[in-house]
Amino acid sequence: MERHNGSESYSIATRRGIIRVVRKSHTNVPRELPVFAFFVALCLLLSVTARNFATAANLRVLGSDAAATGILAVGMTAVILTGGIDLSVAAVLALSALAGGSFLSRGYLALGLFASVAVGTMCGFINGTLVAYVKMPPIIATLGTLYIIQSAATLASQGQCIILDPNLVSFLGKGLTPLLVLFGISAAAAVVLKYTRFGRHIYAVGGNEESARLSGINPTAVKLAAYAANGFLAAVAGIVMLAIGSTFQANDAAGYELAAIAAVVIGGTSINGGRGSVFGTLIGIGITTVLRNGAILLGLEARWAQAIVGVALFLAVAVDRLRGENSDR
Amino acid sequence: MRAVVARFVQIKELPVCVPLVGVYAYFSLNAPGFQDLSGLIDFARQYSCQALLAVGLTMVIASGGIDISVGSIVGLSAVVLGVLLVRSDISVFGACTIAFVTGAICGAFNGFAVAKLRLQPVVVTLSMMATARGLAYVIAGAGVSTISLPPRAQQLVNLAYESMAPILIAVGFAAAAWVMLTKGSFGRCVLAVGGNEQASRLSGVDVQRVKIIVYVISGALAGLGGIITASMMSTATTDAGMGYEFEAITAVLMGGTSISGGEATVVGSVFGVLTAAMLNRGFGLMGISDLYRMMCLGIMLILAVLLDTIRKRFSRSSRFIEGKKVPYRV
Repeated sequence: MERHNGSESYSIATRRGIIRVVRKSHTNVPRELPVFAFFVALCLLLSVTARNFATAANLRVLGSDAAATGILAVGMTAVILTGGIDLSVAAVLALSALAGGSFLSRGYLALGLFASVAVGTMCGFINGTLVAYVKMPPIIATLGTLYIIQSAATLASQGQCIILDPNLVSFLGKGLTPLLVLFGISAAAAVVLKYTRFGRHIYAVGGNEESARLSGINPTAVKLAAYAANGFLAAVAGIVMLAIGSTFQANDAAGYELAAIAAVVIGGTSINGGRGSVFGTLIGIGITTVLRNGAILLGLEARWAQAIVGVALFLAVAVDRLRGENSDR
Repeated sequence: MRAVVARFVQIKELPVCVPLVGVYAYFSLNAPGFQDLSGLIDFARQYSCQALLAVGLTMVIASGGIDISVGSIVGLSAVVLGVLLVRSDISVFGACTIAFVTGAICGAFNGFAVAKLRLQPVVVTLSMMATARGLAYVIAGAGVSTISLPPRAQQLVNLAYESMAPILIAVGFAAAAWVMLTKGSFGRCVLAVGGNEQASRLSGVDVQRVKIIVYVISGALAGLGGIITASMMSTATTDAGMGYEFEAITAVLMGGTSISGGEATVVGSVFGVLTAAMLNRGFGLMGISDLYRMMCLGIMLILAVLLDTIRKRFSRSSRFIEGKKVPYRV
């Protein structure tokens, strides 16, 4: 009963031995359906109650609000699918954006993008090493690197604001482009997770590390790669943020890690790893962004929305628990 | 030789003594006026809130959980206190009680979700972190970030700012927790649950009750910390306690409490808080940016957990029976 929405496996004894048959989840109701229904209902409700919600201008606002946290959440999905967590992504975003921005503000486009991506991947690699090789608990390792990297970012920028050459990357931040970038990255990540060997290994390691190891997967390498990919995507999110704002300060992304984790978990990805999808995360980021946007449109204060997102996060895991997932064992 | 090393690394407070003594020695030599007693007491007072959080977190982490919502609960309790004192005519004592109970309720909620609903502590306390901070903003009202305590709370402010009361409260709770964890049966239950939940359930420990109680203690101490923080500055700010959870968790793990539960030392946690306090004071006196302190704490946190991993490896033979972790005797 409990596993109705996940992929099911059962064994068939044949003359030659036992064949394990894995039945794919799409024969059942998709696990993202309840949250998706909630998202649609929320949007409908807001288009009726808030006058400016369903307008083209607001869609652009929603797009640029969702882009950076959304890209972070896509990377976070991979990490959480392996059974880990990464609290340092916002700090990685800040450091890589500042590294890239220091070149971009002087007019070097390629060098700036490269520096940003290199710094982000490097930070992700360090996190991955601590978690996968040193075997530290992910929450503690990344809490430590969060403070180290955030301090490094603030120190390196000396509290200064980086101002970009407006013609350089701002095309990435105009109109609906940030939203399209988010969709593109999500589609790529979904394909990688679903159809490539690396993606299936991520699910396997998160589902049961020991049995993944016994079936010939190297969990250490898979985890390391997931954290590195997460760092890479944090850098991409940083570039998108630079493009949207064309200025950047070290603490501009503070708290984004919580938004990203909330989106992933609301989207139905199990915090224990092994279950979830990028599509769910996209819905999750949609819900948190629309909640925040709706609160502002309805005349509430922006920072109050934090309470709503917190409650939504709790409800999401509680509902998942009632479906027999996300428990601590 | 291996036995000697294993014995040596088994002392739980050992790792924290190195930075504690090292930091003290370094700043005594390099920061002028570091050993000035009144200044040291002043800093101990400022860190009494973090000490309370660390004591609560020691219990939670000993039971195998984690609570990252304590910093936000400090903020919520501070704002509740401020709002009650300014916008109602409730007595100062009554306001303090309500602020304290607010913290305990938040803790009870965490405990309920972790123990009864069996949700992951990380996610539960993460959502409480956002919810409590958001509630603090809502209660303070639109556009309000600081609430000055009214004159009638002057006695409370004096008590927190000038007397030794915050330090005594922190030391008192630390002592109580120490007695509880080392002598009392409840402490043994906490360590047993953290060491091996299944085994302790089978030996008759009410696991759910133990878990709820540790989260309530953690929340209540955070509530108390909020009262102290607000009255020490004579203002309640909506951002009070932000980042305190990081300092407290670092102090606890640096002190020798194991992140995987089952092993705890309150003395070590207090040493950890003292180290953090001295870092703050020393860097302040030397005029070094606060960011280096954060970086130091981050490195110390990672080193502490690294050491815990190494220690586990050395003591595996004594603590692991057939690959299963058994509760450690205190």
